[in-house]
Amino acid sequence: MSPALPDYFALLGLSAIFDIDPQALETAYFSQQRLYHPDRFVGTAPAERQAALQRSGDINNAYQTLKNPLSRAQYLLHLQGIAVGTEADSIKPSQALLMETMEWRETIDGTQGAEEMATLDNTLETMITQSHATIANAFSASQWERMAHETLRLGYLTKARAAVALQKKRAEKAV
Amino acid sequence: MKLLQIYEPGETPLPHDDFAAVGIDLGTTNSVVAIASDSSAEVVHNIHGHALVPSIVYYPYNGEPEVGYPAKQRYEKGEKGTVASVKRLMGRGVEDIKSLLGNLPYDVMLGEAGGMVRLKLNGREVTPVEVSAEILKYLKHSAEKALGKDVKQAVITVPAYFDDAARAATKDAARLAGLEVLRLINEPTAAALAYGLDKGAQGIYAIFDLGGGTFDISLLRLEKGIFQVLATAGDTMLGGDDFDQAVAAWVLTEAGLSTTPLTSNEVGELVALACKAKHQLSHNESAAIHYADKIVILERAAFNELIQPYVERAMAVCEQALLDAQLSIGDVKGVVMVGGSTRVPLVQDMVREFFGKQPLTDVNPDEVVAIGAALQAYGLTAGSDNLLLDVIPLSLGLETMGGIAEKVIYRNTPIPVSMSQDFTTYQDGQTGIQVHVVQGEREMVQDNRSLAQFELSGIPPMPAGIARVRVTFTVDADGLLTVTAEEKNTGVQQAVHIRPSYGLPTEQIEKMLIDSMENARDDITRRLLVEARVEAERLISELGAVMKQDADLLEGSEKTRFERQMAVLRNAMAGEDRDYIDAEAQELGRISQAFAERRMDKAIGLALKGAHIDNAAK
Repeated sequence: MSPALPDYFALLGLSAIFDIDPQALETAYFSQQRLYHPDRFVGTAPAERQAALQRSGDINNAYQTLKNPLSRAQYLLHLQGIAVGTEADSIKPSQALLMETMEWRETIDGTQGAEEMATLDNTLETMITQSHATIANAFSASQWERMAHETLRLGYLTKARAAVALQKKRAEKAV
Repeated sequence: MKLLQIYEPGETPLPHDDFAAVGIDLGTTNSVVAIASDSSAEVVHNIHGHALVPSIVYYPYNGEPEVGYPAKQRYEKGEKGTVASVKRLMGRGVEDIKSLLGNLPYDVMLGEAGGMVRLKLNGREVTPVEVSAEILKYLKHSAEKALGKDVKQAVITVPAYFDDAARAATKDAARLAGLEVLRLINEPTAAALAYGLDKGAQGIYAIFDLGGGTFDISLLRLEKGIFQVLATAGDTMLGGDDFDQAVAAWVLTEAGLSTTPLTSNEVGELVALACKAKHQLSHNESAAIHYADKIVILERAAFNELIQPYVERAMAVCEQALLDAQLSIGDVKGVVMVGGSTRVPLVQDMVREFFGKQPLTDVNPDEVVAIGAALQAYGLTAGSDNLLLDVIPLSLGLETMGGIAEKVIYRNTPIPVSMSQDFTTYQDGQTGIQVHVVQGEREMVQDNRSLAQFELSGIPPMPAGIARVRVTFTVDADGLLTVTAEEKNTGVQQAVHIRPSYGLPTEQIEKMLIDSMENARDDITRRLLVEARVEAERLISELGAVMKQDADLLEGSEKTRFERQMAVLRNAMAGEDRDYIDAEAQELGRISQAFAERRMDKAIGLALKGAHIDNAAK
């Protein structure tokens, strides 16, 4: 993430919390784009058009970042000066997290059938939901380190789920 | 002079009494122009009642090129000097089109590697951009005739899956035709706009757009005037033309002529016959093809077998789009069929089977894209409450060590968008950094499309790893990319408007514009200089006016800095160097950017309070 990000929550007029209302995010996004989208500035002076282009782009970035719980958590941590999910992370994964990740990898590699894959996917989905709750708790208690570790874990779980989806697709194709 | 116009929904000032904006679907096989007035749009018909203009141009040895039906008749007779399906060559380099060679009924000049394709037609050499410009000129004139007034602005549609090079080429063609492009919009998005407004559709819709040469699938959320593209995918080398080619090859085999070499005339003729048979098979169970004293009968089942691989390719692309949008088939409320090739029964059958619902064929698949473009042209010029939120179809990235393409903006990111990435020097004292911009999804640079290469030079010598070069990609609402690079420690800056190696450099476009104007060659330099001065004068007077009007928004030394730069610019204007004037004008624009942002915010703040701002500044 580049250092000088605009305030995504402020851009969309939302309070900077993890537990945002998805519907409120959509509404805010659409209403801001209605104001700033370059289509609203056709035929205006170049400087205004440039400003609108920039703002509309920022609004898109804000929406994309806040829509996804993982990038939202990463962004909230970034606001606290903590880098997670970058090349220069502020924290290192714990031994327990490394173990958990390794076990997942083995489980996924060792699973074949489409049905077993679906079960794995369900398990991961539940764990991801739980991880969201943990992050929300850590955030409201301002426990930044706990939030950072859980966000790192959410990143690994998300990757595991993507691997399952890929494997599942392969299994279906093979049938 | 209007600086900022914000219209209340439904309130439409009429600044365009003497000229109008139109929507143009510049298709591979056929093109259509439409005109909108208020919330409805109509396609322009010619005197024979046709809305479709064949995208075919005939270049005689002397005189004006012919466009449309007359050119098509020549093409079907296999006459030399006709060019069809030129859209397939837009923004393509020599390397891209090798696979098409031999199937084209005209000679292609390959030129040097990495160069742009040129076509040899009756003694002339033309680029695909120039051929497209002829088609656009024809459509412009048709619309002018229908309206009884000048047409200067247009919304032009492009396949959603068109890359940066092809989009830039399309914009160049418009410029050559004397049209200002209000916006390039994606064909499926235009169709969704027209369909959504007409049917009042709400929910998630798929637009399945199979044209003559290109295929797009876009998934959109339609909601209260919002048309949000969730994902788009496609294939710019897949369309009804492929069906024709497959049938043509089959005819040759059946007639026992598959080993006989064909002249380009014969190819043209045969493909036209194949295309007729395809059309017949949309209504009949079989079609008779008379070719070279032989008659072969093509049954629908055999035809389906010939084209099935192509339709399957389209269905695989649909699957990719759903995956990218994180949607399942059940989320899709309806599938709107767009493009002439969706009339083919097998296409409809396979779409029905894939999406599990009857495809929607209640719009004219040939006209809906142009209608949507016209509605958007009207909205952009007269004001509208509708909002199109589109995405970038292909990832953009940079070459990093070892020829790896590092993605900076991922496909299906909403546009406009701006993203930055920092790089550093890897050698002590290194003063330049090579920047290579690529587009595509593959890991390696060589497998993606190369858009531009430039060197950021002038970095002061520093130990390795100290320089910090920030490369910023900005994709505008047309889907066009600008890249800027800046060394953060010293402020060395470089901006590049992406002109792909396959595209035309600005100077060349200017030269073509000149060539197209009789008797104007001598004073072109003069004209460009005058234009630069007028533009600079406009900038100065606008800024002067708003500095008075919004004096409270000026911060710190801004006023002094603006005035100083205005003086520099005036000094430049007194000289004869156009580039110098442009550069100083750009600098004035750059330093007043923040002020413009404050003004924009103020204007929008006022609008939100209910104040009606029509002309923020005069």
